[in-house]
Amino acid sequence: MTLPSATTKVHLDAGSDDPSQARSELATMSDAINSLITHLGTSSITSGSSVLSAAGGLAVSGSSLLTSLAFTTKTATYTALTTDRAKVINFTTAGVDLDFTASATLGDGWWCIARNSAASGDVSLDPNSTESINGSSTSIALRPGDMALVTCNGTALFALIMRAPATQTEMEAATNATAMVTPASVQWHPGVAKAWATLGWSAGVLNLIDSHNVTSLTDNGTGDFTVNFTTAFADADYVPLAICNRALNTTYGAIPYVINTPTVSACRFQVALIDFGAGSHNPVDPSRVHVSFFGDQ
Amino acid sequence: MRYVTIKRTDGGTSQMTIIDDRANVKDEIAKWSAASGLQAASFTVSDTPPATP
Repeated sequence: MTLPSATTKVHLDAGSDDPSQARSELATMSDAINSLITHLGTSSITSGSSVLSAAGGLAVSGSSLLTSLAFTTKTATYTALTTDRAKVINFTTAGVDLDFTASATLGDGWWCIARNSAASGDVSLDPNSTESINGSSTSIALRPGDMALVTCNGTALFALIMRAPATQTEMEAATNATAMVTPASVQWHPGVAKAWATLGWSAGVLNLIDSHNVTSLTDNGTGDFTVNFTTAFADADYVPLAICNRALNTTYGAIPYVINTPTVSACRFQVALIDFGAGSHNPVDPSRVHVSFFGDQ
Repeated sequence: MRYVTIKRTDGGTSQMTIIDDRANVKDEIAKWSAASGLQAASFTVSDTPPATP
């Protein structure tokens, strides 16, 4: 393949250049480009430590550029070698280690991606002998779904870890300090309200003002309502909380309380107006009632 | 939203507001009944809020 020489004119002036010469030079460049495309289709070009090839699609690999990754699957403890540079090492079995060859052997700039694809259990990233990973000789655990970009500077390893979302079990245990929390998984944490609502009566009609995980609300009469949940609790031992708005009055107080036995799917409340002076109480429709529910779903 | 007027077996009336349009009316009544200790004798469903009493 012959490329145009550096002295070949690539800018043509329509006013002064000979059209036939322009056509000739354009034809030369076109041939060169076609030759390059043909060459890439069957072979490769090497420049320094980089390799450009077009086998199965254009790919560049080497120390400076990379657009494709080799993928290797492991089902037992494995020691990463210098030849694993720029590879994805995928574990489908947990309870095993990804050990590393000595950093001096791997060399400055070596890297790989480790991934735990097992359904359960951890894969440990274990540095060589007394060497360190992220500044510690303690191995790093990859949970199911976790990935790590492991790099070497010739003396130690460094891991940039991409954590998988926490599972429901991890969220409910509330002890994992590394798993990622998503908007959906927050719901499983024991410290989060599983349902809540603000409601109020206006001219005798019960209105829902705002809510979460509430599918319906029922007015059973004066100061008497039932809240149905969209997602049920795991058991009926959850914590229903309620409080009312009531105009300031030194004699009366509106007290909400749970009546009947709550189920996993619903909870009934009543609100009583207490006359502390007379010691009497009567049902009342407060302007607002706020309810929330904590427990296991 | 849908509005369900429940005539109870004790002679009273309960007014249910269903917020989640995907919810099944009979399922919601069953959930309400179990937690409230009240039973539905009959019910009607409407797309408009109940009138002020």
